Amino acid sequence: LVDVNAQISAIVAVRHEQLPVIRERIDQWLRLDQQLAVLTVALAEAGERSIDRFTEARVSEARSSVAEMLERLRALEARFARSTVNVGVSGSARVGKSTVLQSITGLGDEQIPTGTGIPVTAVRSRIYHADHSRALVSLHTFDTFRRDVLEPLHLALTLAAVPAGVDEFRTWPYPATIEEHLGADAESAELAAQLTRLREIQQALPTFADDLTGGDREVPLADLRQYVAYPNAGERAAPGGARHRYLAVREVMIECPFPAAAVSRLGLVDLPGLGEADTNSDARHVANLRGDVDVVVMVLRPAEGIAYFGRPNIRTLELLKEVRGRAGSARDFVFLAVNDAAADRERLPGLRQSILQLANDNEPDKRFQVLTADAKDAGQVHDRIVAPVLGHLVERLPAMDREVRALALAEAKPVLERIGTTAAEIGTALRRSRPAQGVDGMLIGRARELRSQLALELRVILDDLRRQAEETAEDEEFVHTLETTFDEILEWIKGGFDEGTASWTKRAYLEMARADNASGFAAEELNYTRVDISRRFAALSDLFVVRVNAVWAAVATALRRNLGDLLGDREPSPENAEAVLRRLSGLLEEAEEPCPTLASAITGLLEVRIDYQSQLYPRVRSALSGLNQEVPNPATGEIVHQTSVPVSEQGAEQLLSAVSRLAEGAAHQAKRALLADSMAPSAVLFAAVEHFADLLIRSRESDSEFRQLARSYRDDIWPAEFHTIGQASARLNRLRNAVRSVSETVADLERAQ
Amino acid sequence: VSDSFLSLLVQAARRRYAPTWTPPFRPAAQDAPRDADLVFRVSMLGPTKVGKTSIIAALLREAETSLLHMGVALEPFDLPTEQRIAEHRRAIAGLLYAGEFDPAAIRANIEEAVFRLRMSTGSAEVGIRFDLLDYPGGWLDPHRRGAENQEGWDECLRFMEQSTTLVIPVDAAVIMEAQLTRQKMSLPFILAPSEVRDIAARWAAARMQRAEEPAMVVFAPIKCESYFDDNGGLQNESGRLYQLVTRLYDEVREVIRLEAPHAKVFYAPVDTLGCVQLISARWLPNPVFPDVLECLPHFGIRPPGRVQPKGVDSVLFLICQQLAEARKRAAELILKARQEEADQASALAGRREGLLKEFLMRLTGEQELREEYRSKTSALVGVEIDKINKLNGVIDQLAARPLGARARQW
Repeated sequence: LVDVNAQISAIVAVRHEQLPVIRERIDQWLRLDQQLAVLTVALAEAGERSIDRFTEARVSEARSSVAEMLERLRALEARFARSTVNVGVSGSARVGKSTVLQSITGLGDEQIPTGTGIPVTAVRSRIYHADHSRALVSLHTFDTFRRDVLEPLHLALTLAAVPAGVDEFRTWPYPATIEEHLGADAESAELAAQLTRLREIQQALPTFADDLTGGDREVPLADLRQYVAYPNAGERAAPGGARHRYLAVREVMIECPFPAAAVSRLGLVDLPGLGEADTNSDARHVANLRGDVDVVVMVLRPAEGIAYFGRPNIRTLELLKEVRGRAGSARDFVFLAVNDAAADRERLPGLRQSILQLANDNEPDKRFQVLTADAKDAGQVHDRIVAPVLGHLVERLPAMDREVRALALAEAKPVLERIGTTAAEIGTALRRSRPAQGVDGMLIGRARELRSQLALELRVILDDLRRQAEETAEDEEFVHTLETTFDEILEWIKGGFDEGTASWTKRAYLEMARADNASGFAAEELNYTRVDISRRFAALSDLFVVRVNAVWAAVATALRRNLGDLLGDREPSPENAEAVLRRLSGLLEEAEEPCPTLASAITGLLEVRIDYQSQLYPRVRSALSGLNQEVPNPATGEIVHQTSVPVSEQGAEQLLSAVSRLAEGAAHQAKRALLADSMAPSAVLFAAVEHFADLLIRSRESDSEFRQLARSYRDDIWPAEFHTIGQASARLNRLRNAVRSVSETVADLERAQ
Repeated sequence: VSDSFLSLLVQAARRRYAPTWTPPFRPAAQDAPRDADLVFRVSMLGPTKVGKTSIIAALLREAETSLLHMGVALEPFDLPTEQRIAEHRRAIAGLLYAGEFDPAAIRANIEEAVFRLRMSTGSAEVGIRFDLLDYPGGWLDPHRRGAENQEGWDECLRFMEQSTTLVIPVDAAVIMEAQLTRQKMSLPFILAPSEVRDIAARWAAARMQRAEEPAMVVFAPIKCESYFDDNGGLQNESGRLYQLVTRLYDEVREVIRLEAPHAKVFYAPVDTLGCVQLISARWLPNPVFPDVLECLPHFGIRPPGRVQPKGVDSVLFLICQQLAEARKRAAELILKARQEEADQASALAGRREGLLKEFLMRLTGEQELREEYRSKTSALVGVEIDKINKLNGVIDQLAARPLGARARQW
């Protein structure tokens, strides 16, 4: 057996090596399952008419297939992940299963309760060799209790509903007898027994209701019995009756040192009542058992009343066949162990005979190997049961593992094909339906409306500017500023050019006397004066800045009014208009679908500058040209001196008078020149906005770029409008994505086969 | 002795008859105008302060130089005229001397004045008398005229209707400095083109009734010194001035063209002083009509401050040409009458009256008187022909002179 242990270790090691691949496959199938779930939801949400209703059914089927695949793979994973080889021990009540388990493990009655004449083990237990001793009790919640215990009984008894909660179950009005329930003709002892059991469970509810907590509970081995065994006669007779805590227990895992160290790599699974309950209950047992046991030892005992291979045994074999699946043969998976107790020996031949006839087709060990040992005799059990079973396992398990794995994977192929086909059909239907057309059509319409509306609003701005530019009425603000500037210049001249007339004439006289002529000083003063006057008119630039900003603000306001939330909450003002327009220009350039022409229209508008220096100075300069000491006579071309005074105090006064007169005249000429162009700022702005509107609305690229703008910033420009249609579009997109994901995962899985 | 006796008798008879001797018929030249009565009329048509008197003064000054070499002269015909012109000249000279020129400082006329002038052609017999009407420009506006001046104004209107020439002075500074809408809207109030049009229409209608007489209108923008660069100015805005005057007086021109198609119309901008330069112009509300702005131009004197008119010669020559032409037409009418009378006199002197009557006529000197009459009328024809020849000479001289760069026929 030591050798067997080593061989089992090798088998376990080989199994472990395969785990990553299996787990990866599980992940892929899990992903596929999730993707199918998403696809199911997306299909329902999208309500796409082009996809027929059978598709949804096929997706639903696919999900079931995937669930089955996952179940198989998880079983495979469980099988390969175990560090033990598990032997299930099955058999009807009172055949001595627990005794066999005690003999195999060397454990005592504390851990594996036994009794005589009555069924003892009520809960499935797993027993593993370990250095420590503990028992982990997995408890039901009411829901799992309802599902695993009540539902099968209700179903078998054709009771309509199942209690939804503890309280409801406590007061559930069960029929007193099976006849009351099914009528006088009902003569089913089995159903009667199940009804009795159900009523007993109901009566026992107060004794285990507290334990319906779910989760695992670690209990000392000494206390384990109450969780796993039916109450014995003494317990039943005790005051207050017996507790039925086992009813709250799903299963128990017992870890303790096996005194029989030779089977330390063996896991033992107690399978109570297999084949005894109804079909549904058994089905769940089968599911739970897959991957959980490598081999099953079915214990038989030629006891009074059960000394034949009866119907429950045959049904158990059928169930175990399902647990095995298609891997290996029945012989590989199930051993029949006859408990050769001395007390039953006279009925032994009869049992053997019935086994030969009913299980082995009258040929010894044809389908099932029959082992015989006295369950109470540990030596016999080891030699006659454990040894041949383990020997068989060591020999057959690697091949069975391969077969199980291959079968599990092979079953994936048709499933994947079906899913792939379904996904492809949905994809084709989606492509045919062109679902985005509605949104696109609406968006194109809205883009066109946006363009028209902007054209209209820009026209209003343009009309305003045109009026300012073309009507005879002058720019009052400009005129006022100009008049004010002119008046200030006059004051400045009268005041002796900031210096005071007395000081000016005094300085003039001194300078003239020093140079012994007047013309040098006069020339300089005229130059200074010319520069000063020009500088004073330059203050008009401020007005132009205000004008330009106002136009930008008007344009920005029109844009913002029509662009929804794209330009934010802040109302454009002359102060922030440039920033707003720059932001829009940036948005247009950086859009998902860039709009370079629209962006350039805005940057072009932002480049408009009206300033004194570039636009008005040339005119003013020409008007100021008379403010020179020497000027050419236009008629003769000869140079004329504008001032000619004697070098004297009186001459200095005359010079001041002459310079003042020339300065006033030049300032007046400059004012006239500027007034003659008082409409110029409006004309420049009109031209700039007209060019902007042309580029924005009437350029070759305008139509397509407005669509691009609409697509790029749809939900910013029309935040509420595309909500519903956007959701529909999003739903279709989700469906498309779900189909794509499913197809990709199917392809991945097919490649991995 | 008998010769001496007869001679004495004849002389006595002549002495007796001659002062009262009249031809035995109505002489054809009796109704012909006499030179002394030939007074032509020229009218200035413009609102107050536009510069009507300035033009007259400038014309006289201009005539002193421009006409001299042609042997033509323009001079005051009476003392009041001479005084009035001297007064105006003194006022201008004073302003120029002060170095500032404010047109408002020149007193506006408060009553109508007729400048009596004479254009001499170098021969004492062919002088042309003409009267030039100046009147308070304010009278043009019925609101300012007042009932007390209505009679005077009616006389003015009659004078203007009889004038062969209308000179319409236009204040160029006001037109050119009106840049803003309110200023432009004030121009009709300041320059009164509508009133000018109405009077021009009456004048044209009157001229049409004397279509044989020459008719002329001269639009004369004045104070043009700052808008031309041909007389010391630095800027040339003559084109704009022409456009603005055309626009403002278009209706006046149109009504003349319709009512008196034969009238000649000229555009002749003038610098009456030449040495002034507009420095600035302020526009202030009219004290009576606050909605109306008045232009207050401020002129400076261009050094050296010497009066140097420009374009006045064009107006002067146009007027002189016009006068000479008119005078010639009058002379031709006189000549015609003179010739008819000479023919009558000749027929009278050569008429056969029978021996007895002829004897008696000789005896009484009647025949001699007839002969004298014939030779006298014949000589008068020669005189008129001579005048016409002289006028033709003047006209040719004036016509040979170019109109001037600024002026143009409109």
